[in-house]
Amino acid sequence: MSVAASSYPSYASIGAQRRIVIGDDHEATRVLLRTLIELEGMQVVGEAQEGSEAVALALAHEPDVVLLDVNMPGMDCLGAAEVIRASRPQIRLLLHSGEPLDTARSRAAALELPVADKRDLHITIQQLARQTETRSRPVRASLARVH
Amino acid sequence: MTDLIDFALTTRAEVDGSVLIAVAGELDLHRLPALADALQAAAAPVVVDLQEVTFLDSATLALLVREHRRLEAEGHELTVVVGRQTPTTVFAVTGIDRILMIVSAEQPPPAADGVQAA
Repeated sequence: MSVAASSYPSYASIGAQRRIVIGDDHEATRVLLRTLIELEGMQVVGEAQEGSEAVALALAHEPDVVLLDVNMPGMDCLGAAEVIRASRPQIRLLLHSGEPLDTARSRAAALELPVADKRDLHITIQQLARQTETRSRPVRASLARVH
Repeated sequence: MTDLIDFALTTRAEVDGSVLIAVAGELDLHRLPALADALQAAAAPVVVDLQEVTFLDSATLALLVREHRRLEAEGHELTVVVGRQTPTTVFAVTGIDRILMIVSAEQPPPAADGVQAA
């Protein structure tokens, strides 16, 4: 297919060079996320289908951001997020969920991580592209541990 | 006998300047270049009629989103028309229905796009 993200007018200059790892077990969501991310001029450096894979990719690539589905199989999202935060506290973690947000947010409350509605990922990605700082998240000592 | 259609794609310029791309059958990775070519040739409002599509994959979703963005940047709109047999679950699950304008064949699409409801 001759469709290349670079041929499209986008917000490339705004989100340039931001590197992202995607963690989601649904292929359609991963493809959509990659498309939206690339259209915003950012780069997907890895795609994971389950939690431990997301951790491995995060540690290997040290991206600016890791997007994680709350309901990934294997090592769950929160376990993966905790390991990533403990090992690479500079990486920003964003969760998304297809389940009711109240449920997902209550699960993520322990790590104080933001949870976006899976159906609004295009908004999340646009917001991400418009944020200039890439490594601004402070480290919380109480959360920087592996259980 | 829509169920027997493997794949078909027709493009028609409408009198109002919009472009109607009608697809039938299975829209997979092997068929996608035909739709990509048709979409990329359009520099006007586009209606992609998927009423007769029985299968579509993730790459189709990506293409539709990309072309939506391109057309939007050019001041045009991309509308997707779905029918009873169009596999639409993936639209809702992924949130694509919040990115693209997706209309049911039971509802008339925007008049500017020049397509009548089936």
